[in-house]
Amino acid sequence: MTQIVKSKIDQACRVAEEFTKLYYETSDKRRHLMSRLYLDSGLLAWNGNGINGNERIQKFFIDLPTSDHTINTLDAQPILDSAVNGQLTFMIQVSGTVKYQDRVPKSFQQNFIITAQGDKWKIVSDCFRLQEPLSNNEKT
Amino acid sequence: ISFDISEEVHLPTTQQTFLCNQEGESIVRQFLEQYFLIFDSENRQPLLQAYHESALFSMTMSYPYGQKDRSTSWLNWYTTDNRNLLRVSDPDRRQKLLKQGQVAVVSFLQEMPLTKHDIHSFTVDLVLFTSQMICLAVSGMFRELKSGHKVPPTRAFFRTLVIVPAGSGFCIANETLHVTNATDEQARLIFKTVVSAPATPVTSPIAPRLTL
Repeated sequence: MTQIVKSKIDQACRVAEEFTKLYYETSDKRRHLMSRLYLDSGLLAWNGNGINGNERIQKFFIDLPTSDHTINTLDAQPILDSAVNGQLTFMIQVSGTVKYQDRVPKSFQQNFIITAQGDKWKIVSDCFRLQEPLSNNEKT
Repeated sequence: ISFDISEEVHLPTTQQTFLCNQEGESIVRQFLEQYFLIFDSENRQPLLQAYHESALFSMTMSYPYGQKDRSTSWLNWYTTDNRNLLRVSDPDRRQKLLKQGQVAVVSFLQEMPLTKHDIHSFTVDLVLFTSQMICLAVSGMFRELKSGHKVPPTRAFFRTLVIVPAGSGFCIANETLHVTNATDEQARLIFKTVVSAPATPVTSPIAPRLTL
């Protein structure tokens, strides 16, 4: 394994630590700033609901019940150059628990693709899933 | 008479599938069917062709909220390779726990306990679909077979795949896998989906090669 890849792996891990700390603090306490974390054309897939663009994502977060996230696991990798033309891009995976308003906490899993834009990291895509039985919402 | 400010805010309804691009549906469906057909067999070696020669793979594990009592099916097998950056701070260890290259990845997959996935329990999120790169996340449940537990454990997983074009098909460039236990509410539903449509014809395990 070349040094370049090695240093990218180290960097992906460090950036993932900083990024997730900021992301969950912002979504729990300073939601009005959420849009700044995304590319203008960023995508959020929240439990299968797709929201396109950072302004609509901002509105989506404002409309969610208040949240309190606890992170249990964090993992990160640099995305292979062939996929992103050498544009520095990382994939981050998180699991944890989230408590909405006064509800019972639930486990969740989430992944992010983040990319370097100028001197800032921006979310390309954000995919969130609560761990819950599917039949709750199915009408069969 | 009280004040009307403690109104309950509702969560959006869960959708089983999200596709950022409808064109991606058949590709994703085909890829997942072929991948899990091989993954659930005793020989996972054919998956070599599904991975990029420089593919990266890592795994994390944890227990679901509130589930850590004596009745739990322990996730011991998964702890050794748990690349949880919150616990693993040593850079060398972080490097080592990241499987690098298709041989390392598939060797690890081959060591994992035998499984049977419930494809009807899957959620699929296709979040990126360009000519250069596809990113999708799959969650769902599987039964763990022959792993020494009295009752075969029901696990839940969440996989993120970055897929790139390769030759006439596609292969996986990056993958993260999260393994946890199914919650009691989830586990009750495993393999319970009644399919009314005719079952997909069973094909022999072939490598996930995709064509556009």
